[in-house]
Amino acid sequence: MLLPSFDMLGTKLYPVLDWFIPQSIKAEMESLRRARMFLISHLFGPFLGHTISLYILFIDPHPDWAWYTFFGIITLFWAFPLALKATGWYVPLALMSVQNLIFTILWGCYHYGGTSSPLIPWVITVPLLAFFYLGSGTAIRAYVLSIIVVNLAAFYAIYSLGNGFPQHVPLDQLSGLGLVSMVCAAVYVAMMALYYANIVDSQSELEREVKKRMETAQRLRSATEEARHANQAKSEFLAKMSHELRTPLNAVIGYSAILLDEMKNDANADRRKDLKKIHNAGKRLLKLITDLLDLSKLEAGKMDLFVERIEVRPLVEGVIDEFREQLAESGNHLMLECSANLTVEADQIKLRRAIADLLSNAIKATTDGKISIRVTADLEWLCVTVTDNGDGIDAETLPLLFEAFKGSDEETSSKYADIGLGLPVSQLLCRLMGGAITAVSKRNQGSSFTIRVPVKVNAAGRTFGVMPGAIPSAADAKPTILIVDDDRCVLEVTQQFVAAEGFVPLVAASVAEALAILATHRPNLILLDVLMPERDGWEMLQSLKHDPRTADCPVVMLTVNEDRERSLALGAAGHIVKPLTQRALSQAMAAAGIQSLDGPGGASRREAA
Amino acid sequence: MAKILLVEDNEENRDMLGRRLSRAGFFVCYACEGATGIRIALSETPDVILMDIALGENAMDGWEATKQLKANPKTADIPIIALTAHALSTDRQKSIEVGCAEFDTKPVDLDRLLRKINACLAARSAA
Repeated sequence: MLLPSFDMLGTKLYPVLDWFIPQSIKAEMESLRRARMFLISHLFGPFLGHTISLYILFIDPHPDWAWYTFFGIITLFWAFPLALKATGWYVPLALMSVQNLIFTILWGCYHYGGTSSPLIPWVITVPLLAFFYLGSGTAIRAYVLSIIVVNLAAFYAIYSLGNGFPQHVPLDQLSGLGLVSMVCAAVYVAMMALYYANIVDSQSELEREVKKRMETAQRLRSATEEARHANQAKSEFLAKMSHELRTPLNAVIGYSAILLDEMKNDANADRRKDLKKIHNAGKRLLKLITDLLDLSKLEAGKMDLFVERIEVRPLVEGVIDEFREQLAESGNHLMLECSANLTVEADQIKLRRAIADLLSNAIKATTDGKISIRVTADLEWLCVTVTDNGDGIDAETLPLLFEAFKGSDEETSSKYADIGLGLPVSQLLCRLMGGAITAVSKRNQGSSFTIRVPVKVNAAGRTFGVMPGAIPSAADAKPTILIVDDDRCVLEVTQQFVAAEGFVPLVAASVAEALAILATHRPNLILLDVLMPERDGWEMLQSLKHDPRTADCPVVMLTVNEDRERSLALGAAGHIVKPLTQRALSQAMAAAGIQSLDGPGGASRREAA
Repeated sequence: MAKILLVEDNEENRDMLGRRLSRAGFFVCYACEGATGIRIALSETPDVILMDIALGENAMDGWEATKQLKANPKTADIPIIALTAHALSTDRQKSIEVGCAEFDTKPVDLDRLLRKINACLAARSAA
């Protein structure tokens, strides 16, 4: 810093100054600085003033009333800081101080030397200090100017009416006073100027800092934009490449299949074996390409869920059918345990893919053994467990199988050479559905992999557990309200309120999930949060209102945001500011034209609330 | 003998899949892009249509062809099986929206595709 001594003053002096300054002034930096200047001036200025009054006393040891008044009005300046502390009226006090200052100076000039008084240089401090204290607004300029004019006029009037200037001290004795007065005025102005310079310095430093930050923010924004573009380009490239790679592979796999078929009865078994290798390698390569694309889509968050009702047993049987040949070749015996009429609501393709993956892995790890698929379900979860009694995997290497391109140790990875990206992709798919894949394995004792995904099983009884993407079966018959919020606590609480109104709550933790539900189901009302990661509520509201299929479904925004006008402008039927209350929900529903129903427990709950 | 219309722009894939379907006992007719597919569907009245989705840059794609076939009362009841390159995309959702009876991915698993074709034929004869 330019003035280290001022820094020290700052740390020591400012706490003392700030004691006098009321809170309302401290709130704003600009007014705080002015008040500090006001206080510095009033605490130290009178010392300089009294140097002059005492010098006059030194020249004239028996002073009259003019000197006592002079002494008194200089001392009066010390009262201003206390007055500020007591009242907080900064501007009136500053104006009074300016008045007192000009009066003091003119009083001194009038009584001690008149127009040739050594005190005249002090006049320049008046506008200087006034503008320091009060800023330079038009009104302030007018006030300050009028104060100076009025005082000058008053003294001129006294001078005209009286007999010139009084001579309390002979003029020739005042020559020493000139030097003292000049030095004091200079010190005073220097003191204030230093403080001012210090502020200007720190302000421009602040401005530089702000500018630097803004430039950094701008750079970050453009970098983010570039990264987004690059990522977009990467995704497009991958999608295109995957299509380009697949087309020739299609021919490799297809024609080799035709040849294999033709060679069924061929005497040359070796040729057939070689052809089979080509065929299988083609299939492996295809799977790898598919997995790679899926992985990049999953990691880019571009994979959407398509929830529909699925019969589980035919789905699993379909998967098994695909692996008949491999099962026969590996000499494994397969057992399926799954009740016949189990239906769930989930993403069929992704679930199928995960099951196929586990089965494929089990077949690869097991020769002449037993593989079982066990499907169980309760009210909230569907579990598909694939168990084999094959080679098994070490506890340390097991987690690595779930990581892309980590594989495991050489031995295992040769055994599981074909696994590739399968498990990592399946794991991500299950996570996307709100579940996960878990594994238990022991070397030489086999493995057991379990897919656990949240689904709403079609069975008697229903649950309101938070299950993104799952629709309660009761939704088919009863009126529903869709709640969209990324905060699980909010979802849970809102579900209770919705249930109390007699509606079946459907929940979605993101816009994507909500749209997945809306693809198959039409709720009576949508409660929509605004601030959500990825796509926000405004965006969803707009797309709902633009889609003719959903445009007439009433949407009530439920948010911490106060922007009611925006909600209504975008087509929302209502706007509730969080936290939600039963009353606010009832009112918003009534406003949207929806009758609340006395569902099971509805009335009693409302009474309780 | 059931008649299948295969709409596919890639020559190798068309030839390969067509031959495999012929071997499986179907009469197969071909089209390279959507507009031709619609014309042949009207003249040949196939029992099932296998519709590739991406049909080259400047041609009518499979979605549009399916929409038009479903809009035409002469062809509306022919079951269409969409064939897309990518299994996990939202194509399944879209295929249902435009009115496809089934959906499968390329390269096709012939056995799985045959099951789907037979299911479509059975459903049609039942109706």
